[in-house]
Amino acid sequence: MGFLITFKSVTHAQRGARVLSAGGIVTHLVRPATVLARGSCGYALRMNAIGAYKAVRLLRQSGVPFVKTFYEQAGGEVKEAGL
Amino acid sequence: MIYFDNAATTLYKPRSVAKAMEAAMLSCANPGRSGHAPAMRAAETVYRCRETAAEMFHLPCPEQVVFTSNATHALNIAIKSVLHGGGHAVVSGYEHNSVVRPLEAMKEQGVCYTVAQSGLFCPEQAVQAVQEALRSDTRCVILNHISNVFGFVLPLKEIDALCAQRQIALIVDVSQSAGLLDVDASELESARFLCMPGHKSLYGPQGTGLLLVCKAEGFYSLMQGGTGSESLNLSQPDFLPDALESGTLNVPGIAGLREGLLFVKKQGTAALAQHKRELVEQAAQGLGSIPGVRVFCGPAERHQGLISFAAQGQTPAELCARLAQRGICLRDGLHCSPLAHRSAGTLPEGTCRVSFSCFNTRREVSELVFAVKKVLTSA
Repeated sequence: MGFLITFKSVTHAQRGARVLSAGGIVTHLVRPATVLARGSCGYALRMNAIGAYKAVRLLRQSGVPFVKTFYEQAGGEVKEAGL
Repeated sequence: MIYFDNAATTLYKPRSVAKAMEAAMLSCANPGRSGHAPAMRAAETVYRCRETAAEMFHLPCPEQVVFTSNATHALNIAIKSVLHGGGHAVVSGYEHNSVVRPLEAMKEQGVCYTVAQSGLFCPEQAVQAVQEALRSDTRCVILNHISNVFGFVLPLKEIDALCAQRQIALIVDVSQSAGLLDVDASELESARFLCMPGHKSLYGPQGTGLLLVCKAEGFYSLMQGGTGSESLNLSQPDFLPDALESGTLNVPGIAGLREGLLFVKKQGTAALAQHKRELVEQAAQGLGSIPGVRVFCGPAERHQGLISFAAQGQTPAELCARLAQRGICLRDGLHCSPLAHRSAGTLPEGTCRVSFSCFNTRREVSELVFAVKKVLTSA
């Protein structure tokens, strides 16, 4: 299962990617239509859901502002995670 | 041709600068707007430059690096962010018109300012003048780290301490010191903004500048518009860097600027400063030995990057025009800084300015001295 973290701007998402990478979490910077359609304009980091809690914790610790979090099913369906 | 007008812009850049610009032009789209590969490549190019600048100037977050089109642009944002509601500012006696003209324009909005005038190469006087100019309603001090006319290194640390003590915001124009001295934002307690061009001692292309936001305490956007973020919101985003970056960024310029920053990092500011200081000393000695030439030279710790001189019997404009005919490029006149000339007593004609880059050599300085002698003796 995938995990998406959305950000207001590409710059925030890029800093988030660097923070997570330093914490051992591999991410991909994307603009997933499923998430953007819900009004979360901007960019997202896609990653394996196994690291979801750690990722959110690292971002908060580093003060990287993010908007929302989503679990992504195999078929592409997303569900807000609310972490 | 010998180019000694590097305080205006460095003409010669590392080859990597133009290469990176060309690569960006051929491969980068609009950053932060789309998810396709060329847009993502552009976003990565821009972010890497933010990271490199944040590291070089010791900022904790890359988003505190705002891209501008030059130092004047950065200074306008900084000054208007602090003073848009009115208030009093103190400026050093060595400020550029990029500081003074925005302040003059803001007088209609209730802004006033005091020039803390002090003698050339007299740091104690500069601190004292700032201290005496402070008022209860002073909202900021604006300081040119290195005078673009005389190379005078103003006492930044001391004035920062003074501002910190009085809880006054400090705006620093590091146009001549960025890439030459170690500019460390983390060591400046009161600094709110640092402003610089990308195309001088950072060896980036023209059309680039950096505004470093040391404290995120309210911004004044000179322009509002598309940022690629919060598009449903009809107001300008209030977060960095989007609050201060509207419209498409100069991606090729930013790609080139990053290469300039990497070049400076590789050379090391200490080595770059030492090279320029040696050229300053050689020029001071050589030009100073010519009868009728007055050289404005200070001690090593207070004088860096460039040197000004004036000659009896010829105006700076005449002398520099004759040197240009011999293929030697200097700048004459007031250098957009009448305050500095008022402080040094070189109004109204100004000076001839010799400003160095890392690509200048001792041989070029010798040729300059020889040419000045020739021009003056044949006048």
